[in-house]
Amino acid sequence: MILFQSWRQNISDFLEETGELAFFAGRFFREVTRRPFEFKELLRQCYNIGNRSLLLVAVTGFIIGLVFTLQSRPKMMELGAEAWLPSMVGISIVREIGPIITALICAGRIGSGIGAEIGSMRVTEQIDAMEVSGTNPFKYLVVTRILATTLMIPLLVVMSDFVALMGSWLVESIKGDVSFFYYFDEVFVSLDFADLIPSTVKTFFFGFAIGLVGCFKGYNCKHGTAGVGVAANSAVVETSMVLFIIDFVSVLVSDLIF
Amino acid sequence: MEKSTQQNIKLGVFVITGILLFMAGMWMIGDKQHLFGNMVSVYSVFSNTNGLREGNNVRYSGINVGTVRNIQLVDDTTIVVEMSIQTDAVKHMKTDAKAAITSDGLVGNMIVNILHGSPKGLRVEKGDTLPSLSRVRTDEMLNTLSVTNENAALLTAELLKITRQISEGKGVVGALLRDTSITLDVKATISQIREASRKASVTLQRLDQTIASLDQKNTVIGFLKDTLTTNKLKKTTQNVQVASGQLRDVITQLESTVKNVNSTVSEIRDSKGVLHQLTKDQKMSGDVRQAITELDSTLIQLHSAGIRVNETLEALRYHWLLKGAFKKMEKEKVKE
Repeated sequence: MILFQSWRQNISDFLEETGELAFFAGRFFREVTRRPFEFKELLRQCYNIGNRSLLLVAVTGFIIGLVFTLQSRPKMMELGAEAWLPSMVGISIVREIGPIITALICAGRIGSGIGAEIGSMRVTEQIDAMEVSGTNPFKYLVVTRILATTLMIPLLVVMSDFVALMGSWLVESIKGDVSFFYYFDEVFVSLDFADLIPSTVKTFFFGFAIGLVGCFKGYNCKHGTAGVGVAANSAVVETSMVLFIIDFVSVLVSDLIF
Repeated sequence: MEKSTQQNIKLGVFVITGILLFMAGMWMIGDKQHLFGNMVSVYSVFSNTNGLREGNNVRYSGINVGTVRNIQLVDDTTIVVEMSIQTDAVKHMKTDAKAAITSDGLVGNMIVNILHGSPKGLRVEKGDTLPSLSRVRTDEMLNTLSVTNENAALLTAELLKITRQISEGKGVVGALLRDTSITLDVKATISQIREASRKASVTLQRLDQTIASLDQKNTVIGFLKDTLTTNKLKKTTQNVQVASGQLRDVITQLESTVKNVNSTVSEIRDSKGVLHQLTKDQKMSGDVRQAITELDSTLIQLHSAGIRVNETLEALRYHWLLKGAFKKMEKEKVKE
């Protein structure tokens, strides 16, 4: 009975939080079209989210391309399908690995950062102070961050894909003496618009989810400084879950369309 | 403020780089799918497309020259495949080129492979329909293989019956295997064949030697095979040919001369002129002969009279009356 009540409470909390998140998203869509627009803050957030995440994303992407090719190569050679390696790696990275890995890294770095930053502002009553001083904290803190993540994550994914393919080519070049032009020619021969467009479109949703969940967790942070840690942690966990759900839905939708 | 500007510049570089990479990716994919070049639509009709999809490659002479743009099911046995092919490649295609749907490798995608037409064929133009070549499908191959297997089973059964009959000594082959006297005859025949082949070998060796001796120069064939002699013979033959040609000309000229003489003679005979009278009238010829004799004697007399006149004139030169006139004539001659 206690277990049942606990489950019921958990389900109730989940639904309540989902509803609050939906309202939070609705408020974002209302605020984003209303003046005044915080362009300077938007650019600052774009810089923080885009430029400052680039190194981490690029290094991760490069290593993924490198490792993925190193791991796949022996099996492909066993099957006598070594020539298919660029195509396989290209499709895998562009369609799935590049977007999801980049989004997860950004969820860890940016989502937790947003959650912690806004959460600490909440617990230190800076948000309340902003409201008192006549500044709209939602517009200044939330709208700018969600827009910045929505716009920057796709660019980060594109760069991550490119760097990952470079890493893959490096392995092919060293192990198989494959030229740069031949490798990328093979990659783009196997790729289709149906691979690149859906995977790019879903990264906008990934960015939106990272910003939305991070801001939601931070904006609704409670219980003092301990709550800031909880907000940052739950922002990462829930964003990761949301990312996988979006990924699954996007695959279903893209299969229907293309 | 300055920091903010630097950040904006870095952000701008980041955004532009990202967008350029994305655009480059899009362009590369489009380029590989032949979306940006000058393309021409060419059609082909198939009864089965074997899993061909829109976007699959079209290959000509082993080169990817286009893609499948559209596949339309007209009825249950007619499928129209629209292919978008590069203009540069279409220039080399002929209207009798055949389109076949094949697999790109063992596990590759299906492709449309355009096979060469004849050199005399017309050039493919926009909207033309190429004849298709139906591909042998796996199920058809298996059906054929099944029939072959059934035939092989029947053949094996028949062969088994024949083998049994042979082993039991039935029939000619069985008798051959069972009868020992036939075996001995066969052995003797083989021995005779061996002897005959040995003799044939010796004969062939001799023949070979004879043919080799013919190559020597002291024989007629050797003399004829000598290139120097052959050249001389050729030259002589040429000279003979030239001489015979010249001789032919001379004979021709002689023939024409004889013809002329004949015609002249016949003309003389047929005419009533002096020559005809001379040849025909004997009295006239005697008169002429006499007249000639008289003329001859007259000439002799004239000659002697001329000598006398000369002597008389010489005597006159020394006469005192005419001496001055002769001297004057001599002086005028000297002056001239």
